[in-house]
Amino acid sequence: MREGIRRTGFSVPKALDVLNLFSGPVVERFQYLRELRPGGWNPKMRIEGREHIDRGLTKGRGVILWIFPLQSSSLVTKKAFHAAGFEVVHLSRVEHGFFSSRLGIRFLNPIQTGLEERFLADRVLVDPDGGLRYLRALERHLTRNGILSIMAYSLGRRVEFSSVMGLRVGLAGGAPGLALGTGAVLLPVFSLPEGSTGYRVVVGRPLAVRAGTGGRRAVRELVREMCGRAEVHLRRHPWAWYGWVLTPDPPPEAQTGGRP
Amino acid sequence: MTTSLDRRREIAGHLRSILRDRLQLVGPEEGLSEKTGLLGNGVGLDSVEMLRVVTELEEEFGIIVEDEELEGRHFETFGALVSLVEGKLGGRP
Repeated sequence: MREGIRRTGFSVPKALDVLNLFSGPVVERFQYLRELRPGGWNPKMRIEGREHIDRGLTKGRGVILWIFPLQSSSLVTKKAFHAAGFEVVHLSRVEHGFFSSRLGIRFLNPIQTGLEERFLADRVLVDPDGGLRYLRALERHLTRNGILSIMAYSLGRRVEFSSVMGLRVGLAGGAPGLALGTGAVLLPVFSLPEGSTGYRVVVGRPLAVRAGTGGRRAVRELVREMCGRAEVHLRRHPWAWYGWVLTPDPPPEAQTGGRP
Repeated sequence: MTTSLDRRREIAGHLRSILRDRLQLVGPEEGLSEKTGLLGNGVGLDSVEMLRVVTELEEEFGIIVEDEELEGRHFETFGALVSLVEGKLGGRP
């Protein structure tokens, strides 16, 4: 019988991977619930590549941690950087959280964001009216050599496309654009499972463009490089990526930059 | 005598020059009228580019756009941004 099952292409490890993938959001909710308890949630975590942050700060123009969205990365990265002594300002949206209904956004998501804020120096919200106040606040923070974290989502005014594991993926160009405009060091971040309950937060070497590349072409190049770095990790931890089931769609107003 | 219409045309000319020549965010073939959208639909600037344009305008006209003035309505169209600068210049010659 075992041989028969094997011939269908089914394997227990594959099934577990699929289970991991679909149970991810549930696991994340439980992690937040555990964080709510006295004493909080204390998984084993370690940062790999923190020297890139330290070295980036010596340049004096700030550091942007560009976090590729993987399972549990929202909470794990904040906890890990806080535990390592970094004071991180995080860019967020007013609707951030597990719930998308008006009631959820108003009453339930603040519980989640409140937990996250334990590990942040500050949370800066994208202006809901389309204004630029938040961006000026971020620029000031970087000018003061601060650390900023931004999730690499497809939400943004302009989304640049590349591919990850053969899938077309769009990432908002805000983080690379901000780094190019301010001279901040742009570091890719991936939170990956380690062991049965631990996490390894990998900070990669700085993302950079070839000399002489500027403007939107440079942003596109940085998005491509980010996707390439992600693929290296996803080959080893494919089930950590929601992209398989939630292929990011660009918002209606998003455009692919056509000019250099 | 400089009329408010002349002033508006002058600001619009500088803004076109910033968008097309200085920052090269808009191609020469793209029209820029009062109603042209700047963010998202229209010429499709993103927030970072828009803030660069504001910084250029501040330097060009010697004005300061305060944080509380960075509201979305000022950046929806080319004409709205011209109006913001026009309002900042006020009665300045």
